[in-house]
Amino acid sequence: MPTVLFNLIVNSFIPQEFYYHLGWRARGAQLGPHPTRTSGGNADFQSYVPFMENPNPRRIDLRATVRTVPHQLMSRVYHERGAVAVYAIIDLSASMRFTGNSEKHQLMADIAASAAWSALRSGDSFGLVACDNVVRSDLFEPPTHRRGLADEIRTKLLKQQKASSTETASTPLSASALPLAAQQLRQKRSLVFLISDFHLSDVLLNKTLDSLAPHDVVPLVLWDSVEYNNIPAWGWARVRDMEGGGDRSLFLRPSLVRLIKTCYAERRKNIIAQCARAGTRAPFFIEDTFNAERLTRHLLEAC
Amino acid sequence: MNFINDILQFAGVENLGVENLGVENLGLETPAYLLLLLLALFPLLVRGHTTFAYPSIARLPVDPLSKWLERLWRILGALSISFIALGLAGIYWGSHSVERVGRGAHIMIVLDRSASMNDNFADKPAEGEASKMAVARQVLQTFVSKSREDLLGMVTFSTSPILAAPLGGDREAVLSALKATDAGGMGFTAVARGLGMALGYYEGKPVTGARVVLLVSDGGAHLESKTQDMLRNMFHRQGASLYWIFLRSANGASLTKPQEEGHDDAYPEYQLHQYFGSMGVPYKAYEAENPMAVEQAMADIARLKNQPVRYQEAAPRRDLSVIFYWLALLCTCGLFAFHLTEVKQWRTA
Repeated sequence: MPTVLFNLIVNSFIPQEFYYHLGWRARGAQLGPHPTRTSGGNADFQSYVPFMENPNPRRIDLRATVRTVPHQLMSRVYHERGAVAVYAIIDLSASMRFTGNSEKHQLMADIAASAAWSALRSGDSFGLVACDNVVRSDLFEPPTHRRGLADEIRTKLLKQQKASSTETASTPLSASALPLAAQQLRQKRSLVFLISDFHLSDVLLNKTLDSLAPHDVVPLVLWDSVEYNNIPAWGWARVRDMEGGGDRSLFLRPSLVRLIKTCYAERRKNIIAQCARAGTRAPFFIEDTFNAERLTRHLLEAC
Repeated sequence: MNFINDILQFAGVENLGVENLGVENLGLETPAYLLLLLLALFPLLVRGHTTFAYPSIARLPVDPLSKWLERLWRILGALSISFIALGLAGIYWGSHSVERVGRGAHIMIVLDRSASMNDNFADKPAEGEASKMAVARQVLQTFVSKSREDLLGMVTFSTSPILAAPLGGDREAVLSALKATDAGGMGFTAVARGLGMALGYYEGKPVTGARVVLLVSDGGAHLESKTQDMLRNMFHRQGASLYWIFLRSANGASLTKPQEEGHDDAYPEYQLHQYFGSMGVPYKAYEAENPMAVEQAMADIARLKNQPVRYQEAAPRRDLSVIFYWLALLCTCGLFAFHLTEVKQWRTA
């Protein structure tokens, strides 16, 4: 019995929960935490209307009635609180299999599960779209409220990574299907977490961001400190592109290391600029570990 | 060809002097090994070294230095393989002629040890003790110890020639041989065989200096015409010059004064002198009648033979594979240095 309990504690995954709110009014009949355009409810004041338009005696507002000339009975109208669909679009390209200080694919699975958990906890539905060279229909998850979804998604992603890492070498996968992911989403505006390392060509990145323009996109950039921060100061190293872009010889020395760091800083600025141009939220950079609290702060601060 | 001389000097090969080395002189012992040169393409073409997986090298800056070091590394690999292949193929410089300047002379001293050498000089009857042998020995000893650059050898002869010291730089041997003549002379004067033996030591030696046969004797011998021809041939072949220090005996015949008719055989020295003069090689006779004259003659000889000799020598083919192995070693050292700088682990932490 104690071992079972131990296994349960060790193996059970508790997703981190983060909070988000929308800077826009959702459309939808589903009840939830977000402001919507639908009339109804009693918390989100919309306007005063003549009583006959909203014949609810509990919503009669005497002060507004008195203010009218000629007098007529006014009542208050509220916006309904509703739910949106939260999506995670994940990049399953080969470069996401990079293992540095953390295993990127595991980090990605954790974040996806965390998003699912947070969405379900706040009453939204959660869906998953995974892309490599194609939109992965086997991993597709339409928005749902199903219980245990977070755990399910995490298990599915980890299993998929394990399977694909065994049959990898032949053709390195790129993330070329990312612009097609938008077709899998609901037409109504949704909250989309775009989880990728953003090692995409500028064209692909622009296309992806443009295709997601109808939605509220939160770019989550997964970088590893080993990529650019935590590299040896001296020595000769050859690096191979994980997506089949050839290899390169690097004679590492302090000036080159500095240059690499500068390149990454530039890339960071570049990503931020492109996201701003495409009208998404500010990208959230995740290095090595995922901290839901920081993501919450980011989401609540920078709408 | 300057760089080849540099390489040779670097590899510790002695200076070649003025050589007319040319690429046309290059040769190979076993050209089949050149097939190994194809292996040199391997470092240039091969891909698939251990690399670190990196998400996207498009994010990395282009570094020209790294690119060139990578190329250098490949070229070093190719070079070391080709140098080894050339070394295995046994590359060599073919025969070529070298101009050399010889300084010291090669002197074979042919010393007469016949019994008559124990006698006095002609016009010094008062100093009975100074035998011709003693004088000759003393003067020769000074000569030997003074001539630093020469190669010396010594043959003594009486009835038959004895090799005292072979032609070489060993002065001690010659001095010891001279000392050994203390024992006194005996027997007759077999000039021809002594000269023959002395000339025999030039055989097969490179002509790096004037060849001088220094005959020290007090008498001659009658030479048959056959022997005369043979000696002449030998002198011509070896290109040796002859100096004869004739220690004139008391009442002995002079070399220059012809004998009366009918007494030719009694004094063979004159005929010998005539014969030497007719040989066609540089020849000079010194007629010494006292120790001073002997010294004078030796000084003359020392001056004469010290002229530098310029000559062409066919050098043997030079094995260059050692140099190529060294070059291969250098390249391999470079490769090893590269290997040492390789990053074993990408992560520093």
